[in-house]
Amino acid sequence: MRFALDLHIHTLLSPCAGIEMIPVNIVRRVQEVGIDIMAVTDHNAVGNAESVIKSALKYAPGLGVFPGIEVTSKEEVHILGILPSVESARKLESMIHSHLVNPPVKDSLAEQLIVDEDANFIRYEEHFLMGATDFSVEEVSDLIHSFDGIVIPAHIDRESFGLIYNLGLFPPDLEVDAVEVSKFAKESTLVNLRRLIPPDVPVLFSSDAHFLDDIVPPRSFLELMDKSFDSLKEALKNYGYVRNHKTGG
Amino acid sequence: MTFRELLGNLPLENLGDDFDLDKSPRGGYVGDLLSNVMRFAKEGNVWITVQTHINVIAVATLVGISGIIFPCGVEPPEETIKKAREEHIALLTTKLDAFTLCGKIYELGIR
Repeated sequence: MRFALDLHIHTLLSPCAGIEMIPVNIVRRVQEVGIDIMAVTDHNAVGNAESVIKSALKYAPGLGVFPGIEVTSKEEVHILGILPSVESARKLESMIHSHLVNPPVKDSLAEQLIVDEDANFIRYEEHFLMGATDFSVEEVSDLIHSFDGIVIPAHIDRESFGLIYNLGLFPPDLEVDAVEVSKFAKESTLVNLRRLIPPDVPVLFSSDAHFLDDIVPPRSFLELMDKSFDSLKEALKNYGYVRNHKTGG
Repeated sequence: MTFRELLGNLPLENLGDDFDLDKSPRGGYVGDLLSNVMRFAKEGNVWITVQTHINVIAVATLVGISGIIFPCGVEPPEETIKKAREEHIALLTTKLDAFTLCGKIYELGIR
């Protein structure tokens, strides 16, 4: 079946996201615009992933939600990790938290809210999520893969925290399962980016939504057996083959 | 002014025994975003950066950078140093911050 994806959505846990990004608002809007599978990807944290998953079961049945995280590497490159379970996401998060290099700045924690599926306050996240880790991009990728996660460098077409902008070239030893470009990337940008990344890497469009209005109709679709994590992983792995086959490469 | 002379005049540390320090940098550039460095740094420049990813050496080779100085006590990983050896790009580090380092290098005549 063909499913629409948006694998990069923030909640109110991210200090830069709007307060309206509570689980119920997110899952309802995501379903409304026609997305079948989404991932919760806050900066360096997974505290609201489970609430969004529970909220989807309650308020947007049928919507597939994966736990995820947007990790900041030491080169200040953003890399998405999409995880098979909340448990593995939490384990990954604790590794990330012990490698964040910046201590909390004054008043920053009040903007890092962890809530339940009905948006009841649970606690503030005490780590400073806007800082960087001391992991290189390759180490971030290896770490996510060690938890059987999917590695996707985020918004590689963008100037802030983008892989190509910060590192100039696609790092030769970086292993990724896909790359993400902005949902609004132009065709000309895509043609240029294609030349900069390995030929068998799928390109996904995501919203990187920080506010409800950022959640817009999907631009990425994949043929999947079902909405399971394994199907998604499998489809991304086979994408290169299908693509190369079609183009005769 | 060669890299060897810079080492003699400033609190710098050489990161490899076999780097060619007798090259003389022509001007310099400061930047940590590699796409920006690829665009604006010039051949022969000494490059001051806190970026230590191995891609630094790829970019230095593309541009024709003569050597790299890491400020703020930053030291690159072994793989970056190894790649620098292969590409004959000298790597130095200093406890000075980038602003102070640039000022001192400029005063010594590299501009």
